[in-house]
Amino acid sequence: MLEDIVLIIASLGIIFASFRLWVEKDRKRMVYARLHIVGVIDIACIVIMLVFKQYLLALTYFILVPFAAHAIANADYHDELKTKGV
Amino acid sequence: MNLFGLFGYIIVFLKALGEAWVDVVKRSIDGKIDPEIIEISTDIESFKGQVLLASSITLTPGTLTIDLDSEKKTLKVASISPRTKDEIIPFEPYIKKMFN
Repeated sequence: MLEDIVLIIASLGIIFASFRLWVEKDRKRMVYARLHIVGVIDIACIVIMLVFKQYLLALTYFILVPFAAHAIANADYHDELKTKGV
Repeated sequence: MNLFGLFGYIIVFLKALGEAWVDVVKRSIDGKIDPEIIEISTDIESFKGQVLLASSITLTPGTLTIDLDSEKKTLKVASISPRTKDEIIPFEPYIKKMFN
């Protein structure tokens, strides 16, 4: 029962976050905002993996997520191909 | 490694994680998103501690580490809305305790 509730909450989080990713228009620093929102989806996925007792998978995901997000953010920040003013 | 620091860090980090998750889901619904880049200085000396801090910031929805300058002990952090340092890194004292 508790597992079902957690699954529903996590799934709703994923749906709302995905909706915002879909709907939000481009503007200043939106790359970082999108990465924040994807963070919600990542945490929800980790929780779902734990509920389904995939502990090793959840742990792996947990460790890899921040490095991937950081790499993307860092690359965007230092992007020399970006036109000025964007 | 200091066990008290580790336990404290885990508890505070998980609490921050849950709160941040709910906050970003709310923002996904109402669309109040105002991304901002903030420069934060840290008291943590060891490189491992700084990396753990940066990773924790990135794992928490709503905050994201862009850059880490180890010598100057500063981090560039992207935040989904304007925030103070204490709001971004509530777990810093515990990380400091862990790595002395």
